[in-house]
Amino acid sequence: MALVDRIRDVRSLDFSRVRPWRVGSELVGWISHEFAHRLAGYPELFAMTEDEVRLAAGLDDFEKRSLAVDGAIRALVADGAIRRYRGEAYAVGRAFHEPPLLAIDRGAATRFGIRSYGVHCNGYVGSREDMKIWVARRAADKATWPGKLDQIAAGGQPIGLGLFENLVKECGEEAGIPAYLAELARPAGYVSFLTETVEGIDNGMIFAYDLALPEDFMPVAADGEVDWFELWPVARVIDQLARSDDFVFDSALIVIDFLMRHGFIGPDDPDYVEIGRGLRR
Amino acid sequence: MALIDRVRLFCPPDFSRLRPFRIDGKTLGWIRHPFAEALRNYSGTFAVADHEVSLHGDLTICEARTRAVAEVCKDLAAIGMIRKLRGETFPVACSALSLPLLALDRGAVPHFGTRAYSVHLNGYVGRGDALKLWVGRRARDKSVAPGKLDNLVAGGRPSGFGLLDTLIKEGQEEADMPESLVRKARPAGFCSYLIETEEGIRNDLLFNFDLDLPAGFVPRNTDGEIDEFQCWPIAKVVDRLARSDDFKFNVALVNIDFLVRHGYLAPDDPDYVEIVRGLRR
Repeated sequence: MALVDRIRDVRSLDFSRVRPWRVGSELVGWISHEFAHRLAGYPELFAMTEDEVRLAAGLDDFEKRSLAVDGAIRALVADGAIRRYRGEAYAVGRAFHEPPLLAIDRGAATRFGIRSYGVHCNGYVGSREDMKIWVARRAADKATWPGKLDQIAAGGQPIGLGLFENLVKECGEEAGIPAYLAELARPAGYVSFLTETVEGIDNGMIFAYDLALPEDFMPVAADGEVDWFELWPVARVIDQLARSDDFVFDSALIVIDFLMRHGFIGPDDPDYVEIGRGLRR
Repeated sequence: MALIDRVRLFCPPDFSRLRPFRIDGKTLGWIRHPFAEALRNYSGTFAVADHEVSLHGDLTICEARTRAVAEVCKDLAAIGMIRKLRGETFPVACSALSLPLLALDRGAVPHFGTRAYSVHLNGYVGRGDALKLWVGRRARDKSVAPGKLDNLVAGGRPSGFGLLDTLIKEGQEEADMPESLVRKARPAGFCSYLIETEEGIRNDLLFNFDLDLPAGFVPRNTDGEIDEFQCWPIAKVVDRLARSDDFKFNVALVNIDFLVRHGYLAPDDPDYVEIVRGLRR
């Protein structure tokens, strides 16, 4: 078992199992054939062929599209075709900085395979061989990835909130990190993937932030989403990553990116280039 | 002019202009058609087909391949098909750590489009907004990129050298750094690209290292390859990168990777995702 296994766990999407979802000419997501069959029940919204799902052309602005698709999503939740309604809107569009074409509920994001965005915070103490990383275990009753290991704070990116604003908010809610500390976090790139998990088509881009915390800082599970926090020596983090899939798959990518940027993995590792390439897909 | 302009240079080549160069059935490089046709005259060394070039089947060991290909390169340099042989070879191998399958003169590398590995050292002082980065100016008589700005230390990995060996050797020659100081450098990831230039195909993988230098350290060039070193505030580096192509084209990439990893660029920049994605191709 090795770190590269966490990269290989994130298998590339099998495109024979999905069809593209387009709004106008823009590709905005990937939909499984099974879910496409469910959407065929809404012909006034989705124009369906074997090769693609296209949003009805008559829906010609953000409000109309969002409202119409939300109606279908609520019905699909009631039918059990979507597991749950989260009450948090995600932007749907071509790229992060372009105006969104519509918004859909977070609970439907992996059904429509939209590119979803998130922010994750690497909270650490010390430097080099003495560095320790804060690790969180997700609560056993979390809707997604219960009991798995995670960053000290992480969250999905809802529409209408800035990335850094969201990071500071998640740091406060999930770990009790006061804003004056969270605001010291520095952006450090992103990881991205397009894969199929138990949740559906996970088409994610996660912006990584590094936060050097004071030695005496203790995180607090403020919103009940975390069972415990522990401060692990880097060697233990590496060992756990290499030997198990205990970390959520995307959080594992964020930690590995951190390890690479901070020199804890080097080009003497035969998997170095494969690992580096596997972080952004 | 903006940072993204430095990254957009690295667009992939038009593969219809190229054919793969194979050794033992593996694609290890890319050759332009006119150069491939010139290799037809050397049927004892190369098997040239319309869709690929491979080494002659009798050349099974590295030493024999190296000798045979060197003879051909000498001929092609004499008739001007290769501009200049450098008298130094780069290993051709499946990865940076694999055993070499062939050693190829550095001047011939772009003609065969084989992957070249290099090491780049970001030498810096201080942190945060007060961080300063050492910048070198290449000598005006360098055959490649004369007068352009460079990293503190950078160099291609020649045959027979490991990556760290190369960094130590270049650190001594280019900046008069003691080995003990170079050894403190931390690996920090890599940049990569495959592009067509005037000379041929550049298929490069650049291993990046960071070194937090003592404030009293002053580099001194010993091999005549660098005219002068200056220690620049990070804001000046960003500004010069954005407004000019004064940095050697691939050094700009290494510097931008440094800016991303150390939080000097933030994802609110509308070009952020394209910049980060463009660092590894």
